Amino acid sequence: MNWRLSDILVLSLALVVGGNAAIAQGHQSLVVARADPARSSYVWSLPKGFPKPRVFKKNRLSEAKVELGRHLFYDLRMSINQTVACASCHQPARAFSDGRATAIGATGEVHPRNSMSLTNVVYNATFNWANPILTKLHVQALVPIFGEFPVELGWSDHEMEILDRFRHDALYQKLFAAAYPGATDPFNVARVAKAIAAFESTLISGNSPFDQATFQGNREAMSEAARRGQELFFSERMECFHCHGGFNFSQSVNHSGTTLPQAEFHNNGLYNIGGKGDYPLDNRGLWEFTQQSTDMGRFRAPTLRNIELTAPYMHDGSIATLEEVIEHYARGGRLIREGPLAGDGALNPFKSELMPARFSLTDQEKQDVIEFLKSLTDWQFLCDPRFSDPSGNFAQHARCYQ
Amino acid sequence: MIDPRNRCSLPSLRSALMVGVMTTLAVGCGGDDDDDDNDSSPAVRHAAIQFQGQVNGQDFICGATYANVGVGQPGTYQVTDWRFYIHDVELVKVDGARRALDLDQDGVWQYENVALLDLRRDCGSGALPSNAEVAGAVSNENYTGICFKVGVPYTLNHINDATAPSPLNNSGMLWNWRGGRKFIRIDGMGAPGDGDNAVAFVVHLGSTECPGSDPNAPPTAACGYPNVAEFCLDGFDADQDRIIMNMGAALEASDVAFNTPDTASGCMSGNADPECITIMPRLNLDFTYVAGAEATPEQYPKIVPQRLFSVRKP
Repeated sequence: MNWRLSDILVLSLALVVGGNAAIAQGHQSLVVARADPARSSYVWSLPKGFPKPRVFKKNRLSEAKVELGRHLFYDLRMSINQTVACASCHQPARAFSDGRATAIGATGEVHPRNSMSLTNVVYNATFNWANPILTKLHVQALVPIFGEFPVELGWSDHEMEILDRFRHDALYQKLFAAAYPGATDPFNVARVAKAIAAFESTLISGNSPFDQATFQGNREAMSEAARRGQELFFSERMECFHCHGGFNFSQSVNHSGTTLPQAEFHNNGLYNIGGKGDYPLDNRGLWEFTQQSTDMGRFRAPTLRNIELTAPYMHDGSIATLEEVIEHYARGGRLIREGPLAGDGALNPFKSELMPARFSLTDQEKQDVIEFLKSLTDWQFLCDPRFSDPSGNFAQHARCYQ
Repeated sequence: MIDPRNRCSLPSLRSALMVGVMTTLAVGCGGDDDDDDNDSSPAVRHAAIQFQGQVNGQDFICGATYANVGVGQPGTYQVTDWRFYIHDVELVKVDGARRALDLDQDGVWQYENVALLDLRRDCGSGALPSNAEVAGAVSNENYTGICFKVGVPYTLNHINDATAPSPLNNSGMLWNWRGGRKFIRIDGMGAPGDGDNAVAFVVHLGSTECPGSDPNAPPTAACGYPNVAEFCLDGFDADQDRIIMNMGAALEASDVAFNTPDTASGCMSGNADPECITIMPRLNLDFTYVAGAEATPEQYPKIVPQRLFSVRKP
């Protein structure tokens, strides 16, 4: 069974909390989750042209909470054996991803999925690669904390032990007290998760050469090659923008101006096991939640911002380079000739209608598209001291120190 | 709910009009013998125009597969998305005079004179909010028809998706900044489940040839092919009739299980896409097909009368 306990837990929680509302909702009516009036003291520093993030009532931001979250995010004591932190899989030098095909937990267990970049995570309509009901970042943070199949941070059955590490630390006593003023005992798992989510919410990238050219009137910020690549990216030949469109290069966005659910999941033809459309047992995407055949292999299209630094690619890290990603889409899917995963992904019956059957690019055009993707790399974001590790264990990108 | 047999009992959502409605009811619903000079019928009434998706007479159900679509055999076509924008909705009097429907500014489906219709229901995972009506206030007169335009007006079509008001920030309807929004989004698959024969076949309508050198900036001038068509339907009673949008009519001359290699799946309004030759004229649009750089543009005028939209009586 490829369900992860963590996902089931989150699913159950969401059903308990949201079930009635969802049922009552019905056709032609909807629950409009509007942005909360800004009772929070937090002042966003947003890139030009960006929408205000949605902040959930249960986790209003404050500078103190963000600062606590930053410390926790980088702290190795967050894992059961004090070997890994959130930042181990979400390294600042790699735009908060880890460079591995799939993640490895604190105890060495291998996760079936590739660690997602946290770039602009606050704008995601849903979290994880294919979880349709995980829509709040502070709830998502509980997944790696408690995950058991595989173990990620390994808190399950060890909550008190791990919390005590912070409870008895003078610095964290101050940080928790500032983040949760008035709480008699501010140390609990929910508050840890909320603080980490608060910090992650601030990881907003919007000052890449693309942004400078698009929103700041500095067209020269993008090279000629990148601009040619941009035309291709937004062409009906490649169709990239059908899933990677909008300000965050993903249709699956949510922010304060969003009124309608915009979660999207797509099958992009990576597998077609036995010609039946199947994906590997441990990575079936949205199907794991719905068991509807049409949901087989459907995953969320992630943002392409800082994509240059987040290789390898896809939900299982099965494509190593951007060049190969483009070749994958050019073929209309991946052909696996032999072995247990054999099948032609291009013929997957559940492949997205939005993916071209195939397209051809010259070598020059391919390079242009890659140049465009690289123009989404935001060095101000990657080197921002507000996002750095206060303890210095996790370095930012080498370029930040030149 | 409105009783469709009793046109004058239509309740108004605007509380300011409630007094008028109650009075109308009290005086016997405007019968022929009602010559009361003090008739206090409100000057403005509320109307909610209902839409319904159909494929060749069958109601649209998300993910359903329809038979006999187009000219290919057996013409099976699975539809997985059905959304479209309309604007400038007007009710038409018997003498042809038009009165604009002043859309409710609901903050979700309607903004200024534009509304998003989203006919998906139980599509993908979970129940999506959907919207099959356009509602607003209109001068309280007798009408026999309706006109509306499919699409988004130029002044709103190319605003930044990140800061645009709903429903213009609906990410699934985005094309790109220069191109604006998809006016119609029908996603589908020809010969679904038929292995190698299955073909993704979508209809995405939007403006084309929007000038400019940057896909992430508004066009520098109006688009060469705005692709905004007006539809007018006679014999329409806003209180009881529905407007049927029949994609079967749009696809009647298409082979939905064939797509010209190296062109967009189905028709995405491209002027070089052969699949658009049969579809665009059936969306009430003149279509110019240009095969290539040296090719002579070919004109395919809209097919009249249009059959994409029709009135269904209860």
